Amino acid sequence: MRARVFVTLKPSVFDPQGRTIAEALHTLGYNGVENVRQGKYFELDLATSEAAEAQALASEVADRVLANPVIESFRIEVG
Amino acid sequence: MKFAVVVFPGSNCDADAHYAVTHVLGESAAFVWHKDASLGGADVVILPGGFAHGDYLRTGAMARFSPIMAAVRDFADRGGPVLGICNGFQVLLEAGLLPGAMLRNRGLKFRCEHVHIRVEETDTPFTVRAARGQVLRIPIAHGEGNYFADPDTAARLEQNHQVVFRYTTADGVVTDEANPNGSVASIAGICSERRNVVGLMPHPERACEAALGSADGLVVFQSVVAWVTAGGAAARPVLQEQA
Amino acid sequence: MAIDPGVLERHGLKPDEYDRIVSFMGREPNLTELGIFSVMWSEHCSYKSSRVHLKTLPTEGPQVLQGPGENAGAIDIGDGLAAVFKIESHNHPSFIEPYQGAATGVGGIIRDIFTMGARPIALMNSLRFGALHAPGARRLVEGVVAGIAGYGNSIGIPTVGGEIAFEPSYAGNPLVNVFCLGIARASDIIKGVASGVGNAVYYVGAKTGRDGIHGATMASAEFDDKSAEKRPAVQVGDPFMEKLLLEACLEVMQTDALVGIQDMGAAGLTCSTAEMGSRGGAGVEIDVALVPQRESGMTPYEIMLSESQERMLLVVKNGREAEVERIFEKWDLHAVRIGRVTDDGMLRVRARGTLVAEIPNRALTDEAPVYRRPMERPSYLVNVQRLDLDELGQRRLPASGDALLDLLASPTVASKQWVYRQYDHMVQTNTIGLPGLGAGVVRVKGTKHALALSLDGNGRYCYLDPRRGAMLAVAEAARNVACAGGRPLGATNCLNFGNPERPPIMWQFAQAVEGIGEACRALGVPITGGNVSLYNETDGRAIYPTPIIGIVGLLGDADRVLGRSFHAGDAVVLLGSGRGELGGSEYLKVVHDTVAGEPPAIDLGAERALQALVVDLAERALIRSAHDASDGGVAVALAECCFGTGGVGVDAALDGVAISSASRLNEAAALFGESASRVIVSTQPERLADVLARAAEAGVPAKAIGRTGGAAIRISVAGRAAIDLALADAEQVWMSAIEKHFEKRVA
Repeated sequence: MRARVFVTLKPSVFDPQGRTIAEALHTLGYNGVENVRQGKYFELDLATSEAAEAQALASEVADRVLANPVIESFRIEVG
Repeated sequence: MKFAVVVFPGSNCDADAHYAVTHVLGESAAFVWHKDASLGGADVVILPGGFAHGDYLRTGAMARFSPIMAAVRDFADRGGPVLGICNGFQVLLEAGLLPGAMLRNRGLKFRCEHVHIRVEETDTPFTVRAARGQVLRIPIAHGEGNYFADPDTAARLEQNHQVVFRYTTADGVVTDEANPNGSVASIAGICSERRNVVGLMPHPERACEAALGSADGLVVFQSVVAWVTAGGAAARPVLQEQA
Repeated sequence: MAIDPGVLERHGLKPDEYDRIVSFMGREPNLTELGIFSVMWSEHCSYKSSRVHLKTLPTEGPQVLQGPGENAGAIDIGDGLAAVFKIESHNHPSFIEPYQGAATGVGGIIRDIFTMGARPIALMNSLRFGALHAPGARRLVEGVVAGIAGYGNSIGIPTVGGEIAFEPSYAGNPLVNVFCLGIARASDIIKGVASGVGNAVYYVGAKTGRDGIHGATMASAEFDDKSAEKRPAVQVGDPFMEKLLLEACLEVMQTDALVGIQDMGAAGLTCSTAEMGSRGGAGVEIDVALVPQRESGMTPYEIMLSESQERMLLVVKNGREAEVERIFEKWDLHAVRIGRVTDDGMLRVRARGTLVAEIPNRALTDEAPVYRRPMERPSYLVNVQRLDLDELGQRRLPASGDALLDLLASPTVASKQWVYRQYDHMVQTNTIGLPGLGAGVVRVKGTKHALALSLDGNGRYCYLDPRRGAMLAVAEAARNVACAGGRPLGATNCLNFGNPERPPIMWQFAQAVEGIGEACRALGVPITGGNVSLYNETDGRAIYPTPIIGIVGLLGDADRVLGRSFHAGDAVVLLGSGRGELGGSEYLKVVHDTVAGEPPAIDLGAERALQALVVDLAERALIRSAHDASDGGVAVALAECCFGTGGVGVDAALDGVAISSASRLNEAAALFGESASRVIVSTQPERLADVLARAAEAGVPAKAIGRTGGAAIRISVAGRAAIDLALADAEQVWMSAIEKHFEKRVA
């Protein structure tokens, strides 16, 4: 079963990469894009076929390794 | 006395730290591989600069899981002096031995140049031989040195006098221009609550010989030698008087 | 011929080359064999267009431990140590994907050094881009610089010097030449050779994927509109993997368990197996099913041609296999046995035991085609070498102060701090000559020595006269090394040219090689190895012929290293004589938008004497700075000596020259003329007489031209004030020129 983990910087943390990308888009004329925040995306291929187990495992991995709780938060999609 | 220089896969300033301690300071030092379980009876532990595990995922993120970190944590808990330099500082942050986290430089580019840092506290093992307010000219070389702490943590660091080094001008004034990476409150280095674990982004081991451009970094190593020789934590009041 | 012409063309092979293959094999090759030939006989791997000319270069000398033919060259630097170094190009990939192209270029040259048993201690790079304001230029520059920084910084090897120039000629064809130097015990240098029948052939490093297939043939072809589709051919670098490989290989080499080792670079597994077999006079047999793969369903063809990065091929002494495997395991690397050495000189490739390719090694290496391509003096030369100075003198000429500011603001001359600040130039704590100030200098720990390194080249000079331009490049690189206090010992060259199948390009190439040879012989600096990059053209327009020369010199005493910065209150001496030569000069280009004339003349005997004198003065601590006059002549050089000093200016008086009837042009020629063999030195006033006496003894023209100090750059010509600029203003212009194009504060 596949779990998708989305890791993003917490709102309070300044994201210079996201800001640079937004400015570049504006230069290209995409004024409809108001803001950009950059994050990370992980695909985990898990041995289990139980959704609940996958959610729990992915959460633990995300919390312990993939995200730094001081500056990042995450959400999981399973299946 | 003996220094331990921990080597993670991807560390690349380990030899520099070893050289500064042995050739310049004349003390003995040993490399400790990240898979080892013991620090070999060291009196001082250095986590050197580099790109441990390629800095993949996040800088310092994977190194904190290395077997040696249990021994480093134990050593720190018992009051042993631990110095995290650049990537080493990042590892200490990820391992929770120091508060806060590291972000990419505000200017988004790697920066290698000499900067000035001001010594804020002289009661850590690595600053007992310095004077409060002393300005040191030390090189930085990092792309992710933008130290971050949320407002509560940042306030607590100031209240507890845990900010050990701050980026300043050559005259010791904190300005925005003098901050090379955007770190909060121009913080260049901090210590733990118990003061024995110190992390800093600049590289003192690159500033131990005038031929390299500055010898201001020597005081960091001389301090810990004095601290250990005087008996460590027990001798702190005595050392403070001397400095 | 039974083969489809389309297949041949896609493989970069000509029909007559195919016939040669058939006659070697005694039969038609299968597709896998064709693929193997195509990469080994590509220009990039076989040097088929250049070999006959490169053979004429001087490659020997008492200090040479290893000349061309191995992964890198090596020179003896005393104390039982060797300096192992080479320069390589990664031009075409850097145009396709700037970051990864440049990064993998750095990775490749580093492997060439440590595969010889040397620990890499310094990197340099020579870059050429089109004009900075042109569309796409900034993205290209940012990507290349970030790629070099990303790889070099991560692996922990300092980038200590180099050069960057911007000329429209390079717009569609950037040049990314990377140099690496390492130190080894002379007795421990290990070669890329396979020998000893039955010895195990091991593979270690990253898994093999489909990257870069036909990268070698891409480097041997020009760009056109279809180039954008070639993206899959660019590899992605992993500096972390390479750091592990570097440490593990150096550790294995110390055990003396290896017969030979080679990195897998261009043409990957094919090139390393064929070359190691060839050098050892042996054969190599491998089974591709044993090769670690990161993609599924790879064919033998793909596995043999893959250019996945960070892989090494080793031949292990009989009985030492377990030891070698154990050391790699420590570094979390898996060394996998994939084959063995044989004695029949054949490269045999099996797939799960089935033979899929069988080729005589020598057919791939020694017997690769060698071409003596037709040459023809280009027709453009007649016109472009004409420079009417009197006509030029009639134009509206700017005041010399304004001209100097224009030069300082031009990207080729301006400060490159924006660039080198992104490179870690201090890691390994050996750097005693910081970037931006002349040659890079690194000390050799455990000895009293230091090594001075410089990369130099001038495509514009070579466009105007390839032979003389190449001589000037060699002279300049050696002069920069001498100005740091180092005695030039050995050289490496990277020859960047257009399509050699066009006679005028081949003529440029041959002329340049002759020029390099003559200069290297005269200066006593042999070529120990190098690289050729051809087909640097887009839509039939070639780059300026651009030979880049890297020279390594030895300082007997690291404490005697010299920089170019002035100290207040010193006397300034100009060594050498100027003739106001403006041909091909930066002044002509920047101020008059003209590329014409002949490059400056060069007297190699005078150059040699000058360099020996500067080194002598440095060794005796008789001078406090040295800087050669090159782009922008003496005026720019004097200004550069003042920059970074914290406000030490200069007051100098130059002799006049009479090159035209226009006095203002004569003044410009005296200030900005680029006559060769000139160095500005500074010394304490009490030593001035000694310096002048030694110069006279050495037969080098020398004149005290002024004093350091003050807050201005003041230069007079023939007794008349010509330049009077506030130092702070000039320095600001020089410092901000390049940064202005890029820097935008985000927070």
